[in-house]
Amino acid sequence: MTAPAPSLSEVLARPDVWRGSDFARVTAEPSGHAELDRRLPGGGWPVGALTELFPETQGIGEMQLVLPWIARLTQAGGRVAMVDPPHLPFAPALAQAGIVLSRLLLVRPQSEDGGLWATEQILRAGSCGAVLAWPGRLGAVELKRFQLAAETGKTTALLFREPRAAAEFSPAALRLKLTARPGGLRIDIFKCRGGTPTAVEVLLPALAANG
Amino acid sequence: MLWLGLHLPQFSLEALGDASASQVVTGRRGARRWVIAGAADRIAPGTDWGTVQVLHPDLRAAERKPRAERETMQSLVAWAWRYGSELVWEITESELDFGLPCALLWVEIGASLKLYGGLAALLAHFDAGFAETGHVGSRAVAPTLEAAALFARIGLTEPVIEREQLPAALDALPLASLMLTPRTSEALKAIGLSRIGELLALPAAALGKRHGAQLVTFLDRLLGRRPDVRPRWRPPAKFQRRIDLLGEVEYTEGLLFPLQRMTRELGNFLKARDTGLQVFRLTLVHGRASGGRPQADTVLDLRLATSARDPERLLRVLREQLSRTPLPAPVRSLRLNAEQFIEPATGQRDLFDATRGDDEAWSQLVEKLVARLGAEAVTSLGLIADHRPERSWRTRACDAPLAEVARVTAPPRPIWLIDPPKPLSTTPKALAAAERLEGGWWDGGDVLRDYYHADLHGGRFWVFQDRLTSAWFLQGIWA
Repeated sequence: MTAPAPSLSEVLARPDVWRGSDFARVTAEPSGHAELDRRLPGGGWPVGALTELFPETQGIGEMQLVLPWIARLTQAGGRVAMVDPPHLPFAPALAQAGIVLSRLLLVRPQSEDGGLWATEQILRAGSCGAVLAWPGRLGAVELKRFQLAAETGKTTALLFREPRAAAEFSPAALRLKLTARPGGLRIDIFKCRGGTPTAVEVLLPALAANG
Repeated sequence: MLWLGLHLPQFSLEALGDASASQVVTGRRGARRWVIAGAADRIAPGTDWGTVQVLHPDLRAAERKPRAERETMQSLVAWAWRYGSELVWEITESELDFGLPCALLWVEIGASLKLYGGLAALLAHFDAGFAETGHVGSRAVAPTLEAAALFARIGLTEPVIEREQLPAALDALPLASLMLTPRTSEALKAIGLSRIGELLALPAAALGKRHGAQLVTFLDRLLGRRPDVRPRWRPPAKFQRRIDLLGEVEYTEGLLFPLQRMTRELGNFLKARDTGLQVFRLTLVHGRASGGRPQADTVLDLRLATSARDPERLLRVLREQLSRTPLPAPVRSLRLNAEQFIEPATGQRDLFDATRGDDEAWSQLVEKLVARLGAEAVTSLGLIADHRPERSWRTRACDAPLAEVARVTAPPRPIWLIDPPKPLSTTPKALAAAERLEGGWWDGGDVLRDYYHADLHGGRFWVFQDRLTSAWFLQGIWA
């Protein structure tokens, strides 16, 4: 007497059966740049995960890349934290970009350690929808902690890092190299969980108008 | 009336604030010194201190601290307030038993039975809550104060509900458990009495003549035949708590245990008054500094983003603040004060509101960040209606009320501001989009500037030329 062979759907329902496509299920927030969103799994910045941005130098439009998303998030009542930015964020410019300033938390600690601690706390708390952080040197341990904290708090974390750190290992879900192009940016998506590495050019009209 | 009586045999030790197993409290009369509480598993209360020192040289002795006992009792009563609105407490020294202190607390639970869903549920709740307070004691339930105290003292936990049941419950108990004066108990023993039942069987008038009216009054109160009026506890107007540490503590980690106790007591106090607080103060009293000079107290003023009463949250804020406060000298005692109370905004909540608890979590996060990094490092931004860039923004405390009045009508502005502007040694090239800003004569910050966009080293910058000095400055970065 043999048991009847299980159907395919029964087999797939077993908890010990893993499917490759499960990993591709990424929750994401649209970045507001259609060309970029098309190439990112889930269609934007991954929620509850780390995204690392490596601009080749400062001031090539890396903020213009994220501002539309921040603006939409704050307008919808979400909160955004900026931890240890390299300069003072200029309130009128942020308001011009459509950001609701009262939903913005600016953390400027005295020490680098304070910044790392604050980043982790905010990521873990989950009461901020997004965290933009400019950490200095980051080891694998700190990155792993950030990643776990972002998962716990379901927070979208964007880390702006120096280009040479791109060669190091990182648990981040998404890693982007940013290079200046006339009127925009070239974005090398060189690590992308649930998608394929690729490159895309994004036009940044605000930047083009000022250039 | 249904009283829950609580007897606390180790209370004088618990009030010292140090729960180590080698601490005992001693009483003293003349040259005699004896143990009254502590190390209960090794020595009986009343043992001579000299004997104890020989048998257990590791034990440390301390005197009773009546003020600490009163304060500890206050916080315990505040905790017990949730079980009934009428409370009575007493700390007495019995004439028998070497003057052992007797700490008693009564709660009138008859009116709260319905709220808690019956006596069994209330007692279960009480026992669980009492275990958390860290005190040791036994409780009993009886219709009179004296009977509840008696049952609690001898550990009779079975509740006696009706007054009519009292004589039967008391009948078989030994006469010694009544804690009568030595003279009376000797006299009663001499006429051959050994049980309470035998005493109750005697005619009251004869007892009064022979042993004084006091004994009759006591028996009447015990059985509920005469009212027992004692001052009821009233909640105090402000919170004050002091813990003297037994040794000097050099590291903040060593303060966490007493602080945990203090915040728990503060939480009970706030809960009893159904209020919360936003501001409170911790004072660290120091011993002498290394040079032998007296060291001024360290005062920490703590502020919460919103009114709170949760002891965990109070402790978290204290801990963060302490972790960034260096101790100038070892700490001898701690004082926690709270005088201003604000009702926590519990507010009406929508049953289906998914964002509830979000604001709570948010203010806790901000509190935590502020406590560790300082208020100046954790801000939000606001606008000011001024066309001079350096005066068109301000930082705002995160919990400050929102007043977004200013609107931006200026041409595009860069994301990053260099404040103050950085002087440039060379004239920048590739200038575009000129904008002239003038004004400020009315407040002394007069500016005459021409602003340009410039490319320097591959980045895009916002520069201006001061028209009075012709010097160039960098004020912003486009990013």
